[in-house]
Amino acid sequence: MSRMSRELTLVLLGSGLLTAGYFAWPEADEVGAANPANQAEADRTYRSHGGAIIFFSPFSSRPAAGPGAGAAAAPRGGFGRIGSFMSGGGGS
Amino acid sequence: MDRLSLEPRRDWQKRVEDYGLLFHTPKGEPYWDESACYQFRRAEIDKIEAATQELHEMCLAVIDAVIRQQRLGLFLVPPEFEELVIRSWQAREPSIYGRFDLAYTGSGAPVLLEYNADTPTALVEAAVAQWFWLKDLDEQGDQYNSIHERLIEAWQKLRQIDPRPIHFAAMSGIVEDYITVEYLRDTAMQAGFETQYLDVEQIGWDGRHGRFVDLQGRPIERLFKLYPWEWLIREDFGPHILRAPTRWVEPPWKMLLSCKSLLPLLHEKFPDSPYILPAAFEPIPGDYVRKPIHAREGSNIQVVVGGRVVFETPGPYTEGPFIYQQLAPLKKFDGRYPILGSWVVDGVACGLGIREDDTIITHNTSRFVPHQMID
Repeated sequence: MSRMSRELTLVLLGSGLLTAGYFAWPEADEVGAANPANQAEADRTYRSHGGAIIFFSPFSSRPAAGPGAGAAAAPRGGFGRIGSFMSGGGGS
Repeated sequence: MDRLSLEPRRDWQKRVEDYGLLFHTPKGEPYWDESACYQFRRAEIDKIEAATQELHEMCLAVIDAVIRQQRLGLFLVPPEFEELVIRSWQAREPSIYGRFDLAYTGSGAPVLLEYNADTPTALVEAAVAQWFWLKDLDEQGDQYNSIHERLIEAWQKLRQIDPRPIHFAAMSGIVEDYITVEYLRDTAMQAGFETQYLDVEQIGWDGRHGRFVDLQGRPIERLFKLYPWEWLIREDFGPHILRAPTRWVEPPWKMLLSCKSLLPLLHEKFPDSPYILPAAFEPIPGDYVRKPIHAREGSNIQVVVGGRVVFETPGPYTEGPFIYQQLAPLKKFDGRYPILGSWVVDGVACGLGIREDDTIITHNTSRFVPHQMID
């Protein structure tokens, strides 16, 4: 490994763009304390796992909903179901 | 390899937030931890780099054999998706990144624990946060870290093949995933790509034209998704993947590389490699770790020593299927077990991030500790 010499620049991260709106929610525990019903959602926001059991069958996936009329009426929400069940996000 | 205790920077929270690491203290527990660092000698880094590069090449050789021998069933690829995986591999669809998790004691060879080849995180920490930490501490300091530059180069290479815009998607509401994707989008933008972010849940399906679309109805021609393949293909829109012209980053062949079924096959093909632990699809003699083939973030891991389960983690993957891997040699540093996250970008080993835990299993609350390299 040769010696590192770098000028590291970011064009998106670290800018106000990223922090302006997306993270404008209270801390998970504060949400839970204010309303316990919200705790599950608050936990999902952070790095915790839920209690669901996942078993992948070797056989196929569910058929998708029927095609929409076009882009404007495109159905959405066809991805994300398992992730929301898992509660820890898609990263590893 | 040493672990040094350090005084954190006075304004460390602000410093790491400045470059996007907003999840440094989730639920009040530190995740970014600069009260210590790991120090490596250059020769140790050379060893880690060489092991990572060789492991990556061996993994690709296994995938090639799996496809030629039609063993995709071991990876639970649904039959109707096998052709997608095979075509993706045969076309060598470009991959951007992956992270090996290695056990290393500071002596001997680093050994592979698993390959997070599809949706690895802890990227901003490794590529950016620990670099600026080092520069704050010692302007002349050095680190095994060219992840950022390699990412930009990888996107540039992809852009020469296909300059069309790229959409980037992660699950809504998951801070770490969002930051990771935004960081990758940052590097793609620096490579000259037009980019757009949307949540995975916001991806639409335009049935009339047979294509995925964004919130404005524009076709998604290439999608970086921080959402694992084994989930994508089993969801409502999964079958549309077979019809849509969308190109994927990471590509479909990565669903093999990121599955722990890879580990027994690696051992089968390279039984004498110093980097690969004995592993099998059934319990093995001696002490071992049982891992679900699709588990994430250290879920449902079982450690068996002397025939008894001595440690187990909770999680949703209770039904398996499992692989069994020989218990890796681990060493405590100041009471913590470090795991090396060794990064591969565009097929080249290029950097290191370290997470440590009080237990031998790294999971979603294990802390990220920066490193430095000395002569």
